[in-house]
Amino acid sequence: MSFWLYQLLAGLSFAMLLFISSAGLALIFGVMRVLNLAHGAFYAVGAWVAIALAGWTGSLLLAAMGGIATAMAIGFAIERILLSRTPAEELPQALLTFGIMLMLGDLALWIWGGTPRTLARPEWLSGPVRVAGIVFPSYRLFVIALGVTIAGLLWYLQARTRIGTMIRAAADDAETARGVGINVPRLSSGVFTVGAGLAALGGIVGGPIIGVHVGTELDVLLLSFVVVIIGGLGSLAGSFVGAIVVGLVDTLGKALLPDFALFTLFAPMALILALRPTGLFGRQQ
Amino acid sequence: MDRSLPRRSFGMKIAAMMIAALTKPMTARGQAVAPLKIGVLASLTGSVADVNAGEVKGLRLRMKQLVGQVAGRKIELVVEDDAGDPNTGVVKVQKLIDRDRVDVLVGPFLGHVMAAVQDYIGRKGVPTLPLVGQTPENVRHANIVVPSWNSAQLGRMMGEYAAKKLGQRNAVIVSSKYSFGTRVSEGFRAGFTAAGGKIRQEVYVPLGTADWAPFIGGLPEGTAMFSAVPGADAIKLVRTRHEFGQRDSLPLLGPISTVDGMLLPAMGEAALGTVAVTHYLDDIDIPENVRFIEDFRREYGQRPTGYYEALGYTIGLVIEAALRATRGRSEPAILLPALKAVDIPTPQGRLRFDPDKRYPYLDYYFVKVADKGGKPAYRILDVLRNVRPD
Repeated sequence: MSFWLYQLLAGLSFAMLLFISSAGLALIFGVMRVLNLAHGAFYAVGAWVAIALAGWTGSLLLAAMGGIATAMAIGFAIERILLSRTPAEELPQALLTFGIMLMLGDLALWIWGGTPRTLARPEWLSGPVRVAGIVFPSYRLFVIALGVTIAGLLWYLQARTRIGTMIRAAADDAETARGVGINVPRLSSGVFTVGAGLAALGGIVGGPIIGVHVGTELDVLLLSFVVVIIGGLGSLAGSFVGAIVVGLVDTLGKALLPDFALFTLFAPMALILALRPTGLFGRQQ
Repeated sequence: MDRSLPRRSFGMKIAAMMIAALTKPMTARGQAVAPLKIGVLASLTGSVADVNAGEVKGLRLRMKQLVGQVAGRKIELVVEDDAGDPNTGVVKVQKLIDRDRVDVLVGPFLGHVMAAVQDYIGRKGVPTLPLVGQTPENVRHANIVVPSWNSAQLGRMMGEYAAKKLGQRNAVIVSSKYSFGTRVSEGFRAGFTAAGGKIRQEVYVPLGTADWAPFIGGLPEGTAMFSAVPGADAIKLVRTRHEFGQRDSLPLLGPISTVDGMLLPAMGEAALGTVAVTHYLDDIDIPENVRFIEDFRREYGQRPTGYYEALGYTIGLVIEAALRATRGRSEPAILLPALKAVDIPTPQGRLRFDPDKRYPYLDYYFVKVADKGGKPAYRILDVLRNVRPD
């Protein structure tokens, strides 16, 4: 019994980490249809900057804010200067953002070196908690709570606010949206920047658990795409469910079949896509 | 007007200059010799980057102290990065041996990279010193001399110690899924069960795994955990264990690589109580070690942190001793026997090789990670002197 509870909580905490990390991509790719391969790089930049700031200032709050702000600044600059001038097609966007991913990765390697690092946990979240007979880290419970909160906030933003409606309108039909008076370029810029910030938040939240290393940007990109695609493009709810599916299946898979640890992430994705090609909640197009 | 005269004298000046330029400068010994090239294949990016970088620092320190030459020959160091990947290792080793024509190869570090390159190294016959202990099946060729432990033997010694001296009856193995991780763990299993212990579970985790939580869940309390995990993965394992309250309820055992001095600061109090087996500590109170630590501190501005810097320095001492014995000759047929015959004092104590096994006789220390002045450090529990390699 306690084994299952343990794995369930571990799987959920990993799932919520996945969700927070891919929410940015769900917004940018799923909603705005911008193929942003630099998504993982924003995650990594957020983590690297936060680790550096935490080392200098000793304040995790400043570190988190600094990491998110840096990623948002870079995201904003990329969108304004480069992406807005790129045709709205996959190939140019992919090439552009892939190149940016490589550059940011090399920059991080140059500045901070090749050793993997982790972020320190906040003091008040360092200890374990006794939950129904098992010992579980409080930090991971915090990640679960944070993931659910962010999901709620994003849903509210999307479904109940004016901005959310404008984003959905612009995503559905940019020309008509423009005709109705929505400032689509500014909206795109805003969504991209927020997406970058969310990715960085993912890096910071994941910092104490999985840390950051050379190649994190590629690993996170892959994981985020798996989540967004399983969940279905254009659906934040889909990404939430997709993250839970991936997190639970991967964790249980690793615990029950450790020899197949490398498959437990991608086998369910292949299965789901074979049965539902547009993902769990994807719209049939 | 004789025009040819100025031209001829000009021509003679040119000729004289060319002859002077092309004649090799005569050294005091009477003949110029090509520099000895030491190729270093280390994993400078990836999860073991830090410990490899430290080891290269130790080696460079010795090269610097030798003022870049031994027995009248200049020494050059060529350093390459295999990034922890066997394919890259193959490419880089070919570059070092075929293009750079190194006389001695130092490295690689990771067991699975060693496995990938050993046959090529064996074919080419270049004297090779891996950067760390290896398992015998990865160093089958006679031109590979290992300056450190036999991996399986290291595990076996910990297995015996855990059962006989620490009184452990049950153990689980959670190690990294690569050559060193599996071989040391097998050795532990052999030693532990031979001494009456029982292995309850064995899990091998892929290198670079992000989240260790699934692998350490549901383990029975009161057992010991043996882990052979390198670099950053070790940091994650130890911290995750502590997160889940296992530090005290499931004592950790392992080779020194799991809790190397370079990793301890990142692990902090999570590592306390771990028992490890090693053949070097900075506490070893012999003149060579004291001098090494002082020299390292003066050169790099900080004390060496763990096992690997001293090993790099020792490799430098071994190459130096062999070169002195051959008076600077580096043909493999002459240098290789000299390497195997080395018998020198090092920061680790006396180092000499068993020429058949190509592993060294070493003193082994069993240490526990304990709090020393607010920081994790090693406390010596036991010593086994002059252990013969398996």
